[in-house]
Amino acid sequence: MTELWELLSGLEVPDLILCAAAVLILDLFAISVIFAAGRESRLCQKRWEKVGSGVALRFQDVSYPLSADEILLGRHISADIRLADPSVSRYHAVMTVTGGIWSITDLGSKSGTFVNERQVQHAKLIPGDVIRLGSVQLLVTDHAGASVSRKKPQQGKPAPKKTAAPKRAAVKKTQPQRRGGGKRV
Amino acid sequence: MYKNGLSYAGVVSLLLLTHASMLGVVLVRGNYESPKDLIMLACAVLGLDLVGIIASLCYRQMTYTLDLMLLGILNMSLIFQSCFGGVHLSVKFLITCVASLVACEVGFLLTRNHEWIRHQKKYIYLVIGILILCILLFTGRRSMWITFKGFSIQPSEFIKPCYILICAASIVELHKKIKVTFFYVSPDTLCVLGATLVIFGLQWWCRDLGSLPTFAAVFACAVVCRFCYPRAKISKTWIAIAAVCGVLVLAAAWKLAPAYVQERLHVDIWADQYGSGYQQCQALIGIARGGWLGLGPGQGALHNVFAYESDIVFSTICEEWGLLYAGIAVLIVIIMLTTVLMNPPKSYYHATMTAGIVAAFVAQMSLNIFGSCNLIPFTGVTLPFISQGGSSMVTCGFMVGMLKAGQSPLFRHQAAKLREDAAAELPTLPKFLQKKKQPARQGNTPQNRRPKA
Repeated sequence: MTELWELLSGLEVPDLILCAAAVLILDLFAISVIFAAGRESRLCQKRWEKVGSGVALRFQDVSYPLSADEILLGRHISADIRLADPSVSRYHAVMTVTGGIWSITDLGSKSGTFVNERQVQHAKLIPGDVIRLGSVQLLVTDHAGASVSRKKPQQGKPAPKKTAAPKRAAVKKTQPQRRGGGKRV
Repeated sequence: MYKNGLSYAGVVSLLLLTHASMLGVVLVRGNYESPKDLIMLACAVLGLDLVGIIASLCYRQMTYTLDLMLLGILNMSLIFQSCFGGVHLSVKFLITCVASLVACEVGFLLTRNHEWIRHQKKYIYLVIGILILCILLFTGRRSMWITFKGFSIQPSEFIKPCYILICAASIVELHKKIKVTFFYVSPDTLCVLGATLVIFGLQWWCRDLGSLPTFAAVFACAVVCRFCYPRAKISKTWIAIAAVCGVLVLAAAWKLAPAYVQERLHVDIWADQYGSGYQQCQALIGIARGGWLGLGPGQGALHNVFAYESDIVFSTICEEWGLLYAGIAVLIVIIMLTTVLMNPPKSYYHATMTAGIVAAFVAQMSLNIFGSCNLIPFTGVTLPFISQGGSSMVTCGFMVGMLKAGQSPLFRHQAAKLREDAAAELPTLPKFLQKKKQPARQGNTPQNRRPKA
């Protein structure tokens, strides 16, 4: 053991090569970590789509995939989905997801939040539900853009069609504005 | 980890190889008296690596890179700290490394569920209050340190993550406003402003102005997030007003700063090499002496200068290991912070929290490194993950756990239950269920039983 130690200690490895090799390994570690983080990011996005149930919000012809944990709906310029309609409050409602179940919470809006024409403070959502904020109607659909109507349409309630967006006549002439356009999240 | 097995195996191998190569440099160039010291250090470093990797494999999470990078930087720091002034295992630093890793997991578990943690804000305010009381009652006269039987604790370090959490909570509750005379104000914003003033005032009173920029950076980040709420367009007018206010406050602070701060702000270190500028002069000389590849582990002279392992640790590493190694160590911390941006958090709470943590780390690192290099006044704050200091290391670990929580915001345990609840709320059951259940109910009631023919 002692002889081996003396042999190792006596090795004349040029400092420059040794240090350069150590620094190179350190660099490789840093680079590999960046690549691993990139892979994780992609995997997390896939996982998110699974957990978020691939739900989207449809307004007229525009579909908004809900790819964040909280989506703020309102008239304010900083809202996630901006509904430039006077009947919509600045911070009207917030949509949140927990364990794949989306829910909507009213933020004390003046005109109220309605899910399938029933006024709610907090309600869980499923594809096919119709949300009304003031006079603006939004349809909850699956991620592909087509709604999957799991609920039976009841009398007096708007019946969402299977593959089409809500009729234009049912919605006022307002255009939601969102950072980066409609199809993004 | 399970889906990217090959990739992670590569990263883990490189992690082990990195530490092995550093130990190789210590073997060849290090200043050690007996091989026993080096063997103990190698066992501690590689053992901690293996334990950390196995521990991270024990439970599934969304990100492992933060764990691996934390492990990497902590063990690098352990090697650095064990070599200052001669190679010997720094048991104290090893314990703080383990405490930091444990704090990381605690931080992750506590802040993972943003719905839960944001409802605990009153307790977080309570913790801040208790810490401030501890500083006022138990520390020395106008000091931030509590010394008890040889152990020193800095409670102000623990305030940092709590402050970040209340800033994040205030952003989420921003829409809840009350009318005070003619203005609508958010109670949470007022609470955060109050807490900020108390913390700033305490630091001013305790003469710990080094940590003040770190808190200011977190506060500035929270203000910017406030303008960006919720992650959309920024109101330029308000940003301009805030920037002007910030400049005015800075100018006032510059003018009204106490005498000892004024002295530090205007000190010419080369004119007063053996007085106020001693530490910085020696730090700069150490960096120059080390060059690109350093003098060798344990071969430097900076270990004779006060706070060589904490405040001027960057210079000490530069002297012994070289500018390349010191730079890469800092780079790894920066990569740790930037990888978080590759996978942005999904909730406002986690987004604000992450932004605050990154701001705190960047501010602290800048103060330490630029202070050592005499680019800004010397403040005496620690370099995250590298400087010695139990409170700082535990806080840093906790904050990395919070970063991890921002990357893994999924609540798997609640999913099944909530799905059941949602299914129960459906107004109509599937047909096959209705057909099965109705006869069963009829059959169970005696009124529905038909007499046999």
